Amino acid sequence: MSKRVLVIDDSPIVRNLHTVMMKSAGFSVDEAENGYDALEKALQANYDLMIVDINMPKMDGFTFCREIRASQVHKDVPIIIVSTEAEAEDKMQGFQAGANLYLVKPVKAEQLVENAKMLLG
Amino acid sequence: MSDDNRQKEFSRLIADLEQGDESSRRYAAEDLEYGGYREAVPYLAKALGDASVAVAEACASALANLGGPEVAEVLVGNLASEDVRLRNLSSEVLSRLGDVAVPALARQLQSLDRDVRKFAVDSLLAIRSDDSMKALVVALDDNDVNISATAADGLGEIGNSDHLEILAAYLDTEDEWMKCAVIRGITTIGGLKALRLVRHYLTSEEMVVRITCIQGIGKLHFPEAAAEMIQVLRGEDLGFFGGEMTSALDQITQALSPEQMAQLDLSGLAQPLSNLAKEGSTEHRLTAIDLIGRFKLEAAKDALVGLLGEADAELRERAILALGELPQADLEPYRVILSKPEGPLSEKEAALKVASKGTGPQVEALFLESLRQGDPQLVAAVLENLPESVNGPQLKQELARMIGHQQAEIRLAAAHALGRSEDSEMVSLLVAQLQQETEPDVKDAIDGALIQIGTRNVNSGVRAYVQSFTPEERAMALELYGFEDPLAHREKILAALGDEHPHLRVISFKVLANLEQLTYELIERGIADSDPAVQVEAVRGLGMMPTGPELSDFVKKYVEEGTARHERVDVELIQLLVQKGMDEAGVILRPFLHSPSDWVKIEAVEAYKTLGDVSVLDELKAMLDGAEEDLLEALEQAIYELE
Amino acid sequence: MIPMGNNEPIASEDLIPIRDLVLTQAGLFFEEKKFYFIEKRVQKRMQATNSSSAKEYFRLLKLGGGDEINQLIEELTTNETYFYRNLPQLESFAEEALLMVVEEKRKRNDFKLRLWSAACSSGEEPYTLVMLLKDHLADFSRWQIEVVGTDIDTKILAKAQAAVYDQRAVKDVTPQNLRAYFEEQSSRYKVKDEIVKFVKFQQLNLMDRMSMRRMQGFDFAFCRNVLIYFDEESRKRVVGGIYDALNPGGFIFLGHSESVGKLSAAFKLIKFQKSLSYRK
Repeated sequence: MSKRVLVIDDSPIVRNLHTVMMKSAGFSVDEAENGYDALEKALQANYDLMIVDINMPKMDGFTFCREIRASQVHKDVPIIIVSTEAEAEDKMQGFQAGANLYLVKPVKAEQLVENAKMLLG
Repeated sequence: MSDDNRQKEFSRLIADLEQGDESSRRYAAEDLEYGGYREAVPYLAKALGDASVAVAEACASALANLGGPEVAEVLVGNLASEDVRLRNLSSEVLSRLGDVAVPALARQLQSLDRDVRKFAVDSLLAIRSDDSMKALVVALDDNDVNISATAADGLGEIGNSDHLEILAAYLDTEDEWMKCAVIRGITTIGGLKALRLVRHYLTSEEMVVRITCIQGIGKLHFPEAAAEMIQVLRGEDLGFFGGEMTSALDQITQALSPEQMAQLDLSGLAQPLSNLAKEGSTEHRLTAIDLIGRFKLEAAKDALVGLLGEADAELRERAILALGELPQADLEPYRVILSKPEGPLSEKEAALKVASKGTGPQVEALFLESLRQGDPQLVAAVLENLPESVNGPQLKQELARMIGHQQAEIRLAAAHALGRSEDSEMVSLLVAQLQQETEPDVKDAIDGALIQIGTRNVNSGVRAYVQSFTPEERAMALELYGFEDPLAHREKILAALGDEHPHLRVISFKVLANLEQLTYELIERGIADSDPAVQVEAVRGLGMMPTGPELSDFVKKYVEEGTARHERVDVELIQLLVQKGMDEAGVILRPFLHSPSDWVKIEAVEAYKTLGDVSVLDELKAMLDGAEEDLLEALEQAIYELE
Repeated sequence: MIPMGNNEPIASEDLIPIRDLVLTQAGLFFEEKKFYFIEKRVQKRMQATNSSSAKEYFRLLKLGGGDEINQLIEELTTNETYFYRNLPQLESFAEEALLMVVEEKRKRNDFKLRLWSAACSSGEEPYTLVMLLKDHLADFSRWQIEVVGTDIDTKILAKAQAAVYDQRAVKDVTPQNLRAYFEEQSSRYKVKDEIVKFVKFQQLNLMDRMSMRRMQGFDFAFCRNVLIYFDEESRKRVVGGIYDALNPGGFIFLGHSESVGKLSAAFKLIKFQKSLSYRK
């Protein structure tokens, strides 16, 4: 069974590109358009990895990470934040919220896939 | 409400909004919206930061629905807020405000804060108007690629061919993200020009650019786009890209007309599609299978036959469907599958399904052979998949034997098969079995088979109608058609005109009309029926009567008799007059213009319009006064056309 | 030849005016992708009224005066309801959400429970709720229970009040519960008075905001498979109205394919064993 990834971003183009990158590496991918949507999906299915944006309507990426870490099902799932925010402060906040890795947009396909594989061991 | 009261009410609502409990705050926001209190905008904007999400959401709805540029001006500053919820709700409201928010949003594109610019672009995109598009073009030059790419992608969504050149200017960007966004934007706008602008990226070295281009061209639904895709597919083994291209080709060709498909050069596709059908992600494999079928690629048949043994049911099913599209002269591969004693049943079923699409003695021989193998599971599968028309006496005999089989599931399958055959020779056999059948499921299936046979051919349209009846009505209705010669049942059909079920009375009128057995006497009786559906059917029956003085006399007499009828009958009469094009139609129609029912009036007006009868023009104009909306519209159209 | 049955497909342009009429008359909205759903039901009504074309049927609806528009609305809104529909969700309610709420109430010595079935149709859902309460509350008799069933259609409410159902409606009821809570009357099933007495029915249009405000003090609201008939803006209003009707800590249950999250962020998401839930 291929590993299941949840790609969360409010921008359709970013979502699509991240999806394509992961699919081309053999992952199976679901998409969510904001933190709340993602949380609904994540609480109903099992994911091996999540790729999350920060600035999103309804629920932002930091809140999403905290909610996921507080949940039973996904408290240990690897989370990659991919954000336009490049400040050290934002990165700190991301790690504190529970992310495992912080990448700055835009990311290259190889970069995303390699990091995903690394996190999945 | 007097100004004074309104002012009091306003003050009360604002107090509630600021100090009430959660429900009162929400209600206050809602009431300010419904009362149209524009002066509440600053208060509502402030309350957008309420500690309760529910209150903030109510304020957002209120602000969006009150609308106006002042709302935009108040909210646009919130885009820079660190309060995520406040910022998001403000952005949502701005998006819903439409054009009035564009000037304020456009100004934000100059902000030094990247987040503010991004939110402004998102809102401008959501507004989707000419003004917002103009503002967005500016954002294409944003030095933050996340913003310029969002603008490029979004312009594609809401823009038109005028934007193609604007976007194309950004194709030579170094940034692969921007390039993807521009390609997506261009292909979303679409057209031949879009294809020319992006096609060479189909073989781009950059993976995401290439995929974006494939997906984009998949949205261009014309033959040139398909040809471009086929050209690349013919090349070397493309792996993942091949799968994506197959999906795109599938999308394009589904939208092409048969004529356009016929023009397409499909040579050289059998090999790559065979490979793609065999391996890769299930999604891509399914698409490749579909394409082989749709393109009727005989050279890829072996690959499909191989898939009948797949464990995945969906792959199997789709291979069956695809094989059904190919000529099936050679049944040998299926014979091999069916005679393997240890082969999986699913594969055999699949082989039967494909073979059943063919006709002729060879196909029947294959089925007979499989029936005689005796394995009950296979027998049931053979019966479920039997071709619709069975002609060979041997197979028929075998089939007849099966309806009395000791195993219920085989009887069930046999009943389904006999129903599909629509073979009236089998009726007595089925009726006999129905009387002694003990299994409810099989009984239902035999009943169903009898309906199918009884309503075949001429009566096929009635099947759905009959099936909507209660079982009691159904039994009687079926009898009306008779299994053989309906004319022989004339007496019964006539008797049904007096049946207590209106459905059946309608049916008998339909049957009599189709048999040309209606008389004026019968029609009169139908029009006098208590049920409007029957009355309507009787008038429709008039349509089957020969045009001539007898018909016009009947109608004239009928119209003169008064207005106590159901309006639907009048409507039907009017349509009849138009349809028959009777000479005196215009005269006969006159009283309908003064019907108490607007519906009847409208139909009459439209009838005059169709007949082109200008003699009523003055009368129609006089009717304009005080006419309700629908009637008015009909009158205006009729008067316009007649003049 | 006169066409026999009428199962011809109906063109979208003929369905649009019918759809719009239903929207203005009943506030029910159907997107174009749901047209197959209206089509089937319009066809059925066309057959029942012996209408020969969709255009003719539209005129009958709009101008024919009579009751046909209500017949169609009934056809469109009566979806398949039966006892214990969507069991996993009901189990989440009974085994988790309910226990959570009663636990808190017991501590406060508050023994009142109010439930709302917001589009109860012929009554299967509110009665099912009472049955679930009986099965899951060991101290059921201690509680003061009220289940309110509301629907826009008064005719269907009369049916709900009668509490008599056919075989199909009870297909998911266990034999044990069938014996305990129903009386069989010549192959029909009547819900016993000991269940019926806890349920109160009243007519309510979910879009009427003043009537909605009168709905107050509920611990649980069920609004399953109703929002699909509304447009986005109306959905938000309905969910907002239910929010107002709930006590703090109250739960809202929507249908399988409906998401609260898309409509409002005011509820807290709670993950139960068998389904997702939203709490005020």
